[in-house]
Amino acid sequence: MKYDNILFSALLLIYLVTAITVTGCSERFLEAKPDKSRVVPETLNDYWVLLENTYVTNGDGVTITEIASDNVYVSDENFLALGNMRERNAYTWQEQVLDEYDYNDWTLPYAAIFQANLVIDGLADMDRDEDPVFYDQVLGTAYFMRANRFYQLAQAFAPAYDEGSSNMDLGIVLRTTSDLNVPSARANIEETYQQILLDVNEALRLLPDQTDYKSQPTRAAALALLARIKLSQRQYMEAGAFAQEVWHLGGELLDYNLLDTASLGPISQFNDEVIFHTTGQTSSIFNNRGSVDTLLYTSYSEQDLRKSVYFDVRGINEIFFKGSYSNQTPIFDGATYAEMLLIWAEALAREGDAEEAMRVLNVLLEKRWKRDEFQPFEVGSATEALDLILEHRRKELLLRGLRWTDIKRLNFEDRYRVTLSRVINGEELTLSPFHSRYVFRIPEQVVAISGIEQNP
Amino acid sequence: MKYLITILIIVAFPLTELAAQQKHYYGRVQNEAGEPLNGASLDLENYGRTLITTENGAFRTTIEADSLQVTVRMLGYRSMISILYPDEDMVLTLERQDQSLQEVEIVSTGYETLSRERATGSFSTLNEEQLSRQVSPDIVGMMDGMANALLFDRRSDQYNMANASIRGVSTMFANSTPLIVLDNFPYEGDLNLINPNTVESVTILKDAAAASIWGTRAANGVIVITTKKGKLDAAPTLEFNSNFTYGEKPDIGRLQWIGSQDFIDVERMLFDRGFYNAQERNASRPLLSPVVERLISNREGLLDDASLESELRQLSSYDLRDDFSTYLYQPSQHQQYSFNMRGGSSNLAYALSLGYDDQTSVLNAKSNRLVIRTENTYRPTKNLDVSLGLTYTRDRDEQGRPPYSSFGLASGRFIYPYARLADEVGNPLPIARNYRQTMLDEAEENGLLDWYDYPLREMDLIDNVQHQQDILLNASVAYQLPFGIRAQVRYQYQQLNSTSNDLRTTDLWFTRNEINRFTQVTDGGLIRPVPEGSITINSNGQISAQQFRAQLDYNKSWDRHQLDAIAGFEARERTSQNRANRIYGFNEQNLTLVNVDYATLFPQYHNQNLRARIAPGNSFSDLTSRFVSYFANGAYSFDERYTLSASMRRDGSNIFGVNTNQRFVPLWSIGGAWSTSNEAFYKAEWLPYLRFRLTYGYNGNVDNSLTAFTTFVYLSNNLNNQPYGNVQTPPNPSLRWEKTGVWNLGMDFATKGDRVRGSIEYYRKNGVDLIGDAPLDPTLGVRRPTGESAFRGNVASMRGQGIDVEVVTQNTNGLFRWNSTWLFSYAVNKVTDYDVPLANATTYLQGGFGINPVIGRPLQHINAYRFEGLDPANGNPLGYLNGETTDNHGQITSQSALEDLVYMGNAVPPFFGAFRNDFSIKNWTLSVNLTYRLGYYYRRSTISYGNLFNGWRGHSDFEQRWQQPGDEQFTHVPSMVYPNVSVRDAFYGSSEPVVESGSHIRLKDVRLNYTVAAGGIGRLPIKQLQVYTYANNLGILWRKGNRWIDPDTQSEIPLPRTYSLGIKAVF
Repeated sequence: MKYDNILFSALLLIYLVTAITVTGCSERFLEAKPDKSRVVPETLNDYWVLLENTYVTNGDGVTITEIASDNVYVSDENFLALGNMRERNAYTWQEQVLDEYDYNDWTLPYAAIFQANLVIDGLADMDRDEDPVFYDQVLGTAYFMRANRFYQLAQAFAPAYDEGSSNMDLGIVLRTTSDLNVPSARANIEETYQQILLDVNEALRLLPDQTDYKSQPTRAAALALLARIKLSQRQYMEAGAFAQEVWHLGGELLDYNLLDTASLGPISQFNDEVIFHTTGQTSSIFNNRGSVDTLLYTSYSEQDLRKSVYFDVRGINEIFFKGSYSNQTPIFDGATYAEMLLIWAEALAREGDAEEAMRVLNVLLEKRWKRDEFQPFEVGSATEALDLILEHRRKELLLRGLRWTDIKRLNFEDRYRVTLSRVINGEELTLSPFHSRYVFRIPEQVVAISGIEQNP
Repeated sequence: MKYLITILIIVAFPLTELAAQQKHYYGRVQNEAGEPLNGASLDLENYGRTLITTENGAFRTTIEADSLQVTVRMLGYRSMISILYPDEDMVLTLERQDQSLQEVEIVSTGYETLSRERATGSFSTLNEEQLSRQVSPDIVGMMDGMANALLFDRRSDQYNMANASIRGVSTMFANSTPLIVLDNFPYEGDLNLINPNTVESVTILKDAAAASIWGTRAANGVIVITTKKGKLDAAPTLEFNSNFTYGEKPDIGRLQWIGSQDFIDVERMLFDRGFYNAQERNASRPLLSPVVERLISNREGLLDDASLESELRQLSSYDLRDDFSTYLYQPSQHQQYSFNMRGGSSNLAYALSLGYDDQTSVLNAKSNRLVIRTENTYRPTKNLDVSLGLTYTRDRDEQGRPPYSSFGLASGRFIYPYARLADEVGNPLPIARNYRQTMLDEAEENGLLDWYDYPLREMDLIDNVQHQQDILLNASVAYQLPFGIRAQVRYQYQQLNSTSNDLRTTDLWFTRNEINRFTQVTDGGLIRPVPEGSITINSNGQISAQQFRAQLDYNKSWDRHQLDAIAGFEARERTSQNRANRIYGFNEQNLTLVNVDYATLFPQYHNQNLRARIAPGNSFSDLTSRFVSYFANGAYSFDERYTLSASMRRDGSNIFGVNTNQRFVPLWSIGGAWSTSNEAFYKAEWLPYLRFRLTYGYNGNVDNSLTAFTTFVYLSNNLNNQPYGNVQTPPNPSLRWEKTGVWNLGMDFATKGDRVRGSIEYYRKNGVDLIGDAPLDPTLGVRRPTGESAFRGNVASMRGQGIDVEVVTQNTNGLFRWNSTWLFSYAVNKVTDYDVPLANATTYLQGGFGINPVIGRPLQHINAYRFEGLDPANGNPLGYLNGETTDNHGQITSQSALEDLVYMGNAVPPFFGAFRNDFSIKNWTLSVNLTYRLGYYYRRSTISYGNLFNGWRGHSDFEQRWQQPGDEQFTHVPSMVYPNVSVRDAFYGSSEPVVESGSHIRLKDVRLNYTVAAGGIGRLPIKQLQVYTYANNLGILWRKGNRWIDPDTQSEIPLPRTYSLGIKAVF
């Protein structure tokens, strides 16, 4: 039938046309993005937002070091009530600290390092010339983030830097690639610090002077980190020089006279004194279970405004810290200009320039003292100057994640050496200088999977 | 829409013609044994009338026709078409029908229908009668317990296809849901939207020869749902089915909670030890329980000792489970109405169905669903078929009351067992949540909204309604060419729109809490960043799917040869878009809203030191998946003795990188069948039917969440309220499809007279390139979005094997008929390759839910710490490590390796099946289905002192705890210690005594039918009228493990029994 034939031809034609079209187009058809919100990083901005993941890059820093330090004590009752084994074990300097959870002070910083490595590797395949200013900032930020996490890890999982043994002492794992096939291995301390310094210097070269938010690093932030690193290496002259440079880049201090001392959060986040904003992990010890060392608290002068700005005193053994520069519960472990003044002053004192050291210290203390009652501090010798500077370093930089490093480096000096002690349920625990518990053990699970060397 | 349906109905009605001249027709209907059949129906095809035989099988009618074509039907017998001649005593003999296998001789793969006689693959079929035996709002409930090899895992409290498996699980982390095909195309919508009464049959494709035509989606098995359709030249049939189901109230009293008195004693002990001191002084003023508040008052001298004791005594007499049972839960109800009409004239076949379901759940969630479906085939000329189908579904779901498990009063906390929802006369009582009572009272004095929760009052004020509308449009054109070639083009469009509107007025605690916690009290009055008014949370989504297929069929038989083949290609696209928003300060009366500041960190009322942003609740998603496939399939039979089959398919998708798509990875199968009983030499008269089948091939699978590239998601609001990126997948350039090779050996048989008929199959599955997790060195810094340091790739292999048996026996014949159906499945799997160093033992103690593959073990299995009893001195649970008994739980939990654990067994039943008996006598039929699951284990819950102290979650095992030396003789529940040692809880909770055997036999359901002799109902044109009752979830008859827990749901609350009463009429 003719009618049939026409239909048949039409059908066959449709069939063939669709067959050919589908085959030809299938390649393009299959290129559609499966999920619009999911992105394969390609542009500078894609890489930039990876570094804007502030929860990974600026939060969750190493916190066990602060728990193990001597700023905060926990009563027997509160110690027993601590639900988190990591906090309990770090507080009592146990061998096993990090084995309870997947999220811990080892794994969290390495997650940030992986993000940074993705960016550094990704940018290597990109053309800088298209937007050199932004390109440099993204790359510089990545180097900065990596250096900062490496540095934090080294404070917890490696011994204090000591020139004499830095080639023998075990450092941390230096992951400098996003390639997952490269196995993890521990570098020595010398290599660790070399890598950290290399990264910060790259950052310093690339970072801009100004950024939109305090969570984004600037040149000043890179210099501040350099000052911190050098201080931990006990290379005081260089530390002082970096700190001085930061201060002269536009240092500002909060005048504590202008703060509301009655407030439970008197210091605002991202204030002018902050050079760079990072925080540690939330911890119930710093939230409500732990009390600031009573001796430390009473050592603050009545004229020292930090006494009322920093502390909320509710009773004996109930001195809560409220002076966080993050205005939030996790501790603030970023850098401030005050810290730079203290590093600079310490360097000067160690060089024997007591007068200049005191001048620098007084710049800080003037903003901490009750306005009409401040008299510049004077001392008779460089040693006295250093004593005073270290005292105020502790008082100023309380709960900033810095104390552990300070104890470790000062233990090299007879004058400042300390033995930490705590009493739990009537039992006294002590931690003598250079004890192996000054170096945290790596989570057993990590050691088992990666085969890296464990700390003693 | 309505207009269109009206037209379709009008078009669908056939025109009947009339003749003249009165003639007498009479005779009788009998069975093969010559016994008269009472109640058989004779459909007078062209006259729209039905005769019913009387006592002695006789019928008689007078009609104006020269001859009469009738269809003779009777339940349990094969229908027969016969021509009657006037004035002749016609004897019509009906053949008895066996209940299952032979009845559906056609199996459907979604691409073609095959004669079972010539199919080489493994198919299970469920016909309409088998499906409609169950009363269920959805198709899932109709298949459970009826089909071989199909197992529903009900541990997750979800009863749907996502938890179904066919012949065991074939994948570790990729999609494990069987592919659902509705008529010809994969069904992309919600399976609950299908009206189960429109389903004619279900075919389950089990092996490679059956399923590999579905390529990369076939590895989990395929379920093909075929709906009822009209046929050309068929008299109109109208069916009406309606039923009402009543479900019992869940027995909340069976929850194994710690008693109120015990709980209060524990709180007093903790109070005395200073456990609450820090919480009491916490600046955030967290919630303390009423007992602790009273103890504080007593300590402060505000409550004297006598009053304290009497108040605590009062509290200890309350049991929240009673209130839950009285006020929260209720019996469920379900009504179902379904109407089907189908038939056809010489060039038009039509089918029309309407279905309406209305349900009220045990938590008073109300839902209703209306489904209208029409499918018409038009044959304008002899060789051309044009079909058009349309299904419209409207579904409305109202959220019910919150389940008991959601009554947590603060983050990480459950509710204390002495809480009360109502006072003695039933008035709602307030309950403090999140914050201390003193703070809530102070807030009210400051002018804030009432901050207490009144669960009893608020649970019925939830106003959250979800609407779904689904439109499914099919069109196909098929043309029969010369030489046995048939060309067809099919297209399907589906669009599912859903909207959800959740209005939370200030009558709800949720809204008052959001407003209050941001409220700032100032000298100038209250400042409310979250404005007073309702919060409305809305979302809408749209799924649209388009599928296109062009296919050539070839069917040719010559001499003793028969060749059937198909080839074609298809393209599919599915997009889904969702958007959600949240509006504050909403006034539902006049539809106004208040804009809020999402950027500022506001101090929180309960602790000014804490700052938070107002939750924006706005989100978008946009997903697209696309597939292009080419396929071919053929079968050749010789002399009805030998059949060979082969199939091949290639898939491409937009999920993988281009490399994988370009690489040609065909999924294929080959198979053969030998009908032994058709051989000349075959003489076994007792076994007149015997056939063997053997197939091999590959099915594929895919994990949609993976790609070959590094990907990240853009998220909103970092610390600076700016967008940020979070890495989702690390780079994996070698990602590819999972493949499962399947061997299947089958035997079909029937004894003489079909007294015993059945099939036995043995299969082996070999999964390669399976997507697996490689627990990565955390130092690499790669995290999955869920947090673990892990990497996913094609790292694993798995082997499975099993046996499927289906046997139907006719035990008695005659007046009393008794048939039995035996379903038996054995399915096990074993991980054969997993390139991952063994992790710490704790990884392998996840209760069988989480998948942590171990080479040589079933994919989902249960391990436990070795348990050495309780220490007689202090009730510490004793474990075993490094060759000695120890109570160093920290060491056990951190240092145990996998080999230190006791392997308890499979977490999913390796043996399962059903044993169904159908009895009938006269008009009555009774069907009883027993199901069984054997040889598996599960970990039950027990007391964790950490959860009790910190989370207010106790367990009745507390009563059994070790309290004094000697107790270790009769209990293994450890003593209570303070401070709690979390590793001690973890050890005991994962040790041998808390692992239970899951083996059990269940009386799943019973159905009783009474078929009314239609002739008895006056002159109504009813062919068949059936009244039925059905009872489901009747209970566990035997179990090996704990008597208190249902091993399937692992819940202490048994599945509520349901009872249905229904009526079905065929016109």
